[in-house]
Amino acid sequence: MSDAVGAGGVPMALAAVMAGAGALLVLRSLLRAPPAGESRSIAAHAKAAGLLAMMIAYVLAAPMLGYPLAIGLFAAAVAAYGGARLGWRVAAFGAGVAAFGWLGFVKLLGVAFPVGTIFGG
Amino acid sequence: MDHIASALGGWTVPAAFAGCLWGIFGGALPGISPSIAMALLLPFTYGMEPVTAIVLLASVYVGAEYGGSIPAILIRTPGTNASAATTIDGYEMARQGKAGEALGISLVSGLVGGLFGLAVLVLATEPLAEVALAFTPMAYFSLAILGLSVIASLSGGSLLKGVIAACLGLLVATIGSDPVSGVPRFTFGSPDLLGGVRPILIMVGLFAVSEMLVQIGEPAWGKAEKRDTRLKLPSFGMQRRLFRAQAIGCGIGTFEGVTPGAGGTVAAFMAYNEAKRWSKQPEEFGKGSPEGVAAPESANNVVTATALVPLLSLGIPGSNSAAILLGGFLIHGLQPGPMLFEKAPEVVAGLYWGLLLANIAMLLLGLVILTPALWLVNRPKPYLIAAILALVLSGVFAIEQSFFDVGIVLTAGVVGYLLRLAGVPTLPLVLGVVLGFMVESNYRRSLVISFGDHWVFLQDPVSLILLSLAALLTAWSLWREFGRKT
Repeated sequence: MSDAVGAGGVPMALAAVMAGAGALLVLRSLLRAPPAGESRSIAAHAKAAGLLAMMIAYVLAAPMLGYPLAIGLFAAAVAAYGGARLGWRVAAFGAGVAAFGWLGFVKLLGVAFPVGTIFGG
Repeated sequence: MDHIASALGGWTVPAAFAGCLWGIFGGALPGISPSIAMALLLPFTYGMEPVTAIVLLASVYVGAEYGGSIPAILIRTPGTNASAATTIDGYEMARQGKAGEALGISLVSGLVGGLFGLAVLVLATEPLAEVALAFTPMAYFSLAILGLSVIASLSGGSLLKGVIAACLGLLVATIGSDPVSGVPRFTFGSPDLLGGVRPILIMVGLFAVSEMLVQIGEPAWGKAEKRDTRLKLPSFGMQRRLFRAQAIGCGIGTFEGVTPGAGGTVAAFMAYNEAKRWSKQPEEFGKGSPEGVAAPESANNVVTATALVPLLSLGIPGSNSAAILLGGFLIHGLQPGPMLFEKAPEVVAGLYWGLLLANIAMLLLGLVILTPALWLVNRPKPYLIAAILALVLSGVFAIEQSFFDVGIVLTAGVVGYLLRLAGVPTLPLVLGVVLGFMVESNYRRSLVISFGDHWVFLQDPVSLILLSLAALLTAWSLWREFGRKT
């Protein structure tokens, strides 16, 4: 079954509209000050980038460390990164998240999270 | 009676209470909008019965609108956008030692609004859906175009940026197998992308992850004092005084709710203004007027139900929260729109009863939830961010047991963060993702029927009407965008 537009027709039309709208935006910003988005400091961007790096690290580490350990470490690390003082509270929080995740997702919902290659999974 | 028993059977009642509870907590946390609270639960609805899942998500929306008023009244920080108008008089009442009274007015006004909105939803949706039953593929395409034409009102003042965001969403929807020929598009050889990108992943990334990326760099929000934790329901005399403001809130909330793109925030501020205009004591507004709390709270709770009218009858989500609810329907293989009433009437009935239960749950939970809600609001922000992200990462993986999906969510989160920096609205993008398949498949199906003749969209009478409406809406938006500023 085929049609006059084909598989590439709609994406190409969308790209053309986006290019047109983008060109108009550029033109408008040359004629008058563009409406501002949310302004943030470099430190806020760096903080967001760090948080993103931690999420990526979790995705990469979970198959190796296993879900409970990885999510516990992730939660504790994010809390500390966000400003919580390092100590037993952060450690207990990480352990709590790991226990909650393991009980809720693995035991209750039966989700097949990675066991962790270092644990023979 | 069988109908009621079937709708209320199983897990519907617990889902309504649990959803409402989650919504109140989510709404009470500044930065967690109703849509984020719903998006966080979305992955968990996969294994549920469709009715349970939809009731759970809709109840979150109901609960969050009340939850948002708690920090708005107590710490002058709206928990949700829609509760921003409540801060004006709610916080003034709290400063005068009437925090419990303000919270009681918010709760009762929310209940009045929620029940009124539900009545409108039940009465208006099915007749509209019956009209839509006669739709051809051409009409469906035009309907989706009409849905997309509300982009302007969702674009926060920049139509061009809204158009770009919507096109981006439509492009995301083209990833995967082509709906007509089956040819793989933009999959880059990855089998994970053959089935396309599920809207739920985009929504969770855009709403929840991007918000956390923003919040990690923001200062902590204020703390509420424990002396504020006694809620006081309005007396009969006070309720009589509030009636006019609540009625104004209900009227404006109905209009704004059924209009895609308007939403609870606009409704709440409009209701506040009109309540002040028609009040016998307008001078009290801004200085702790009970009507100044009742009007916006009625309005934003009406919207929780009336925003579902275009979603259920036409399949068009008009707000973030409606888009998430649409995601909940899609997860269970249900497409909101006219056929939903024929294919899954039990889900529609269950949703109606679930919304009624959610409003009752809001009243009951509202009476007892204040202390734990305050405890939660007072938790240090770093722990809340960590817990929310752990929930997101775990929940998204749980959908398909795929880290690839988690990667898509993180990518969507980064895109959402960058779009916010550039002042590009994210809701048109979501609209594009959820309407993308409807647009392209019906467009190309129509062209197959007409042997490539594009006039078919103007020859079909329903399609012509819908396209004309879309053109009018676009022209009006363009006038607002360009005409007003010159």
